[in-house]
Amino acid sequence: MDFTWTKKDLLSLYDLSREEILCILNTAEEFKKVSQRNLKKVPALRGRTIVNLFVEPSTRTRVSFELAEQRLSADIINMNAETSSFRKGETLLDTLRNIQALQADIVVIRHSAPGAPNFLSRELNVGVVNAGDGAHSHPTQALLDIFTIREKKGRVSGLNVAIVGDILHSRVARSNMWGLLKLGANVTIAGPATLVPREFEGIGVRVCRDLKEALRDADVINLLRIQHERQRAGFFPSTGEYAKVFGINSETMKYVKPDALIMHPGPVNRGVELDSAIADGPQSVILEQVTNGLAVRMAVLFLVAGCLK
Amino acid sequence: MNESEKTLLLDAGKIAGLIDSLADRILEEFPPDQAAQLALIGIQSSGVPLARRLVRAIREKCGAAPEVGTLDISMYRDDIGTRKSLPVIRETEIPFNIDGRVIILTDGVIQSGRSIRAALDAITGYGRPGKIRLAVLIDRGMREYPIAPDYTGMKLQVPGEYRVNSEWCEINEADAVYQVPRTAYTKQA
Repeated sequence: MDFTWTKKDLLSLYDLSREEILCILNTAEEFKKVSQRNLKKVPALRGRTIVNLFVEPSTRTRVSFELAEQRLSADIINMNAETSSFRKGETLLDTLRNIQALQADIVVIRHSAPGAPNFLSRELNVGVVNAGDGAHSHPTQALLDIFTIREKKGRVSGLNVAIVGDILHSRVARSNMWGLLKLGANVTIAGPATLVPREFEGIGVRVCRDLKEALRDADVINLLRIQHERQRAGFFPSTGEYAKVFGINSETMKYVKPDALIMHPGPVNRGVELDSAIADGPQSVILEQVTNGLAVRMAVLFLVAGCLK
Repeated sequence: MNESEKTLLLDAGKIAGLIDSLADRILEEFPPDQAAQLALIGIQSSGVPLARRLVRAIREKCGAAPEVGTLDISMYRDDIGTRKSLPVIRETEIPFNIDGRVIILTDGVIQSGRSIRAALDAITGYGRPGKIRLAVLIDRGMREYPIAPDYTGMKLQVPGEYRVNSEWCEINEADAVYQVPRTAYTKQA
């Protein structure tokens, strides 16, 4: 029986069933083909208005959403923290009420406060797509990661996926964990003890303190960006030491399976979590993740728009 | 949908006869040398088996083997958000250049003409065909758009409160055309 999407929001993969995740991935496969044609546009969202509200800085996610919206023929309003009324003291809800009064259909929101998208979806009568909220959730990033894994490996179930880096502060890691576990993958997280707390074992992932052990049986290695401010906050002694102990380089690649995928949500700190030769090497699918992100976001917006009444 | 509410209108034998006559009519317009250049594109989902069967019938009749593709029209519909539920997007696979080609679009049943409107729009996303023709197994009337098939297997007079569905052994259990009360769908939703 075909699965039918029924949600007007995409807030978190935690909220989605396995069938809902597969529905998005399957839909994205067809949208990927649209971007491979000469004419890269479909009229699916013609006459719909989408507001991109990026209260926290973003380049690649915002650009990816914008292009996805353009390829779906939607009308777009871009707002960011600098140009919006937040600076004048307006609340998030008031800003969004104004947007709703302009008859916008969907709001794509990036916000530093976890739960901001959930709040808006309760308060407003528009579709809400979470483009990242604090350390909570970044569902479209995880969906594009999982899409890329499935495309490259032919399946997700039964694969060993290692997520390496700053798990504690990462919405990408949380979203990947929820999505991958629902699809039957085995997830290992690895990194410094300060950034990879044991508490994550409670959701069913393996916590690994030794990078080599995490890499050895991994079919997929997803590296997270190490933010310099975490070092300043004392989570690890120096980026140099991080690179030595948890970075992927020619030395640690000896423990990586020759067919394992190297993934990174970008932007990459070359020489810290990932060496250049490997980022640009044959096992890296980093740029394919970017391509697939477009297809996944088109699919999400299409499905969400179809459920607006 | 409750299976017991379905009423059989055509069985597999009748459908095979209709496909045979559709192939004959296509070959009347496009003799074998031209038929080899045709491309049949089936609209997802019931038009896809029809396109494949027609290609097979044409090949058996004259040896020419037109190309075959599939087209999903979900991204081109004008009722996204107004339907009760979203359609499931199926595969679009057009593994050939359609520029200048003669394309025969196929669909199981034509009613309003809105699917064909969307399909014409969708096709232009892939190129600029020379000619587009439309072949349907069943024309059940009730047109809302000024669109008419070029090749029709059979016209059926069915009261408006029924939907007409073509089923195919590739997708469903067997080849068959049914009428189903529209209430059978609303009850499910």
